Formats: sequence, structure tokens, C-alpha cells
Amino acid sequence: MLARKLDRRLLAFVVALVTLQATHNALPYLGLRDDSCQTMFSGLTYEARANNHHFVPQRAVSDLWRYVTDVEARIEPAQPASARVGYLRDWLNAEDRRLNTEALRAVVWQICDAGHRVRLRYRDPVTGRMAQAENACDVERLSSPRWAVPVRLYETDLPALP
Amino acid sequence: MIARDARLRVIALLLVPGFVGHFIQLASEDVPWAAWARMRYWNTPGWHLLLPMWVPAVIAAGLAIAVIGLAIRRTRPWMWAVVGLYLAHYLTYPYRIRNHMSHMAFEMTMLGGVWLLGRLSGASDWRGRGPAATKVDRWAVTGMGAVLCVTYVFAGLHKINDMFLSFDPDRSSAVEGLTTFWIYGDLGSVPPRWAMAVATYGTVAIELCAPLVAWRVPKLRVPAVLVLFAFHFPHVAVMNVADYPMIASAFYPALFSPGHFRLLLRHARRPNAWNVTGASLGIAAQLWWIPWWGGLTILGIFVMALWGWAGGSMLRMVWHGRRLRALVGRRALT
Repeated sequence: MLARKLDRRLLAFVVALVTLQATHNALPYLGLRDDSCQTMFSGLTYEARANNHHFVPQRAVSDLWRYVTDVEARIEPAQPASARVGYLRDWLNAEDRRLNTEALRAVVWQICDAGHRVRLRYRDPVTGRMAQAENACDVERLSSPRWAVPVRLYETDLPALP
Repeated sequence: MIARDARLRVIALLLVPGFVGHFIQLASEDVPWAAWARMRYWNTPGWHLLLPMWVPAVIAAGLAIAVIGLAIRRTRPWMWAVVGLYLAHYLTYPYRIRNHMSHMAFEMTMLGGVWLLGRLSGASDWRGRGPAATKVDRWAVTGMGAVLCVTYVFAGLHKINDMFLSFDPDRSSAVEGLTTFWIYGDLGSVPPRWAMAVATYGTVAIELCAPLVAWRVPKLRVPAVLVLFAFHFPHVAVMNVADYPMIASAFYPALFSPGHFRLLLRHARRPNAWNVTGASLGIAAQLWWIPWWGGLTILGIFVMALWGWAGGSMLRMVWHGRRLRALVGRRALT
């Protein structure tokens, strides 16, 4: 009786964890993760509603996979509070780069946390139009990283597309 | 002792070179001590940003110590330390999370979770002793085999796309890798189309099927594992990613049944003509193909020796099994 109960418990755990792993590895099709989902060397590419897979559909449910382009950031006060803030400001202003939305949030959050205001101009990845925030620290989608996510999910920055 | 199940003991042993590959790759690519790595530390999102910078470093150092402890002592508490510290390492790693890292995280969670459930149920204690310790260890191995199969199935599934399956080396990493393999192996400068078909469609078929076949079809287990070794050889030889195949193969014992694995160990424990020849062929192949001398390509020599040893032992087991069956058959007839 005890042995059967133990078997049931262990089976339930194994099934639950394997289901979780399968869900995790399917995250690229939901636009929720690319790093470490076994896509290495796969050549899998995706957009919000399309990918190059022969039969698995793409339904991106977040902006984690998106990249912001044409970013111009100015911090106030202009003198960085630390070398770290100076570097992060330079990363935001890097030329010919596109910046992952979540990485951008993490960087803006750190600059705001150091006591700066961040004036941000960028091309919105959804509308394709230039947008502006007088102080990105006040805009949640530009300055609040998703702390439920423990690790990097996508490449932080990539060369700008031609 | 780590476990009563021999498969788990061997997995724990093979994890040591797997972690060596992990450390070589992370140290050589991320170079955490370099100034520019500190910059990347800050623009990478994750929990490490909430921690002092020394915490991920201390966790990584702790993991390295636990792996050394596991290599020397090979006891359950050291394996517990590796499981716990690896999960902490994964959750605080400040750079790119590699494919092998999530695989390892799920394997460690499976092992730690089953052991913990066994402990909470009173079936086994922290040192792996108890009324149902063998049952708990067998469940852990079953779970690890399932995790391994899911990893391979998704690796194959993601590749069913027009980029990977094209025969263009600029689009398909399989054909690009194959071309590199062809050149460094002195086989020519352009691989033939049949080889491209094997590298693309064959990769998908192998990743989708071979681990599952090895796990669930005992008669085809040995050929399926040998196919996996052959499939990973170009990755080890010329693609500078020996860490991943080493880590994946560390869990291959989970594809065997307990009885089948005990039988294999009889042929693998001591040197014989089969496994020594296999290991020699493995080393020779890696030396022939080695594109440059680096951390992971040198690890590749060890990996190929190990696989050659394991492959030779498996073939010897099959050969002896056939001879034994033939002998029993002849005796039955007379």
C-alpha cells in the first residue's frame, strides 16, 4: 500500500516536470524565450504571427522577443552617477544596434535606480513609428523589468537590420 | 555511495567531465573576469541584477568545489550539493543561458525532486538509505531518461524549418557544420548531396527518434546509442561544442534498463580488446579532425575516448550475447 502511494507520488512528479520541460522548450513559439530552448543551430526564425517552421504555428503573447531601434537616450543630471550608469547610457545610445525590450527595461531601471531621469526617443517595434518618453522612469513598460523571469531570454542587442 | 542504482552512480561519474565542459565553455566565451564582461553583466536582464556582484561568482565557485568533491568522494551529500548549487548557478547566471544549461537544470531538478520526495515519504534518507531507496533511485533514473528524450525531441522539432533543411551552407547550420567537417577531415571541400541529406533530414530523424528508441526498445538500444555517438561526433570534432554532447551522453545510462546496464558494466569495467580498440579509434578520429587546439577540442579527445570505450563495450556485450544464445540453442538441439 505504502509502496503504491510512493509510486503514485513519484510518477506524478516525473510527469509534471517533463510536462514543464516540454512547455519550456515550446516557449519560442509563444515569443517568450529563445535562449536555452534547444533551438541551437536550428535556424528557427520568427515574428509575431509567423515563423519558418513547417507546421508549428507562431503566436507571440508578449514583447519579450521584440527589439527597439533608433534609440536616443539622455540622462538628467547629465553627469552619470557612476561608471556603471555611464556605460548603460552608452549602451542605450549605441549606433546601428537594436535593443531587446526586456534588456532595455533592465537598463533603464538601473539608471532610474541611480537617481537619474531618462529622456528616451525610440522607434516603437510594434507601430514602427518614433516615440518619445520625457522620463522613461515614469513609464512602466520602459523601466520595469519582469522580475518573475530569473535569466536572460533573448540576445540583449543585435546589429540593426539594413 | 551515491545510489544503489548503478546507472545513477555512472551518471554522477560522467557529470564530472560534463561540468568540466560547462566551465570551459562559459569561461572561454563569457570571460567573466574581463572588463567588457562586467558591462554585459549590467545590460543582461535577470535576478543577478538584484544581487551583489560577488554572489553569482561565489555560487559558481561553490559549484566547482562541489563537482570536485563529487569526483573525489562520490557520495550522496556531494551530489546533493551539486544539484542545489547548479540550480542556484542557473538562476543567477548573468550571461547567455546555453541550451545545455536548461537541459542540466531539468535533469538536476528531476534528480533532486525525486530524492526529496523519497526523503519526505520516508522511503530513503539524505544518504540514500531506507526501506525503498532502490525504488526512489529507479524513479530518478526513469525521470532523467524522460528529460533526455524531451530535450532531443525538441531539438529535432525546432529544426523542421526551411532554413535548417536547405542544402545551402549559408542558411543551414547543419550543412555549414558538415562542410567544416568535410574540410578538416580531408574529405574534400564540398560535401556530396547525400551527406547533406544525412546532415539535415538525418539530424531531425535521429534527434526525434534515436533517444526514444534507445529508451523504449531494448533490442535496438545499442544501435540507437551508437547512432547518437556518431551523430554527435562532428559536434565534438569540429564545431567546438564538446560540452553539450558530453553532458547529454552523461545521461545515456538512463536509457538502459537496470539489468541491461549491469550486463554492460561487466564488459566496460575492465580493459579488453573491444573497448581499448574503441577508445583508440575515438582518440584517433578526434586527432584527425581536430581543427585547432583549444579547451573544448582537447576535451573532445577525452569525450571520443570515452565514447569509443563505451561503444566497444556495447559491441562486446552484443557479440557475447549472440555467442551465448547460439551456444544455448545448440545445446538445446543436442
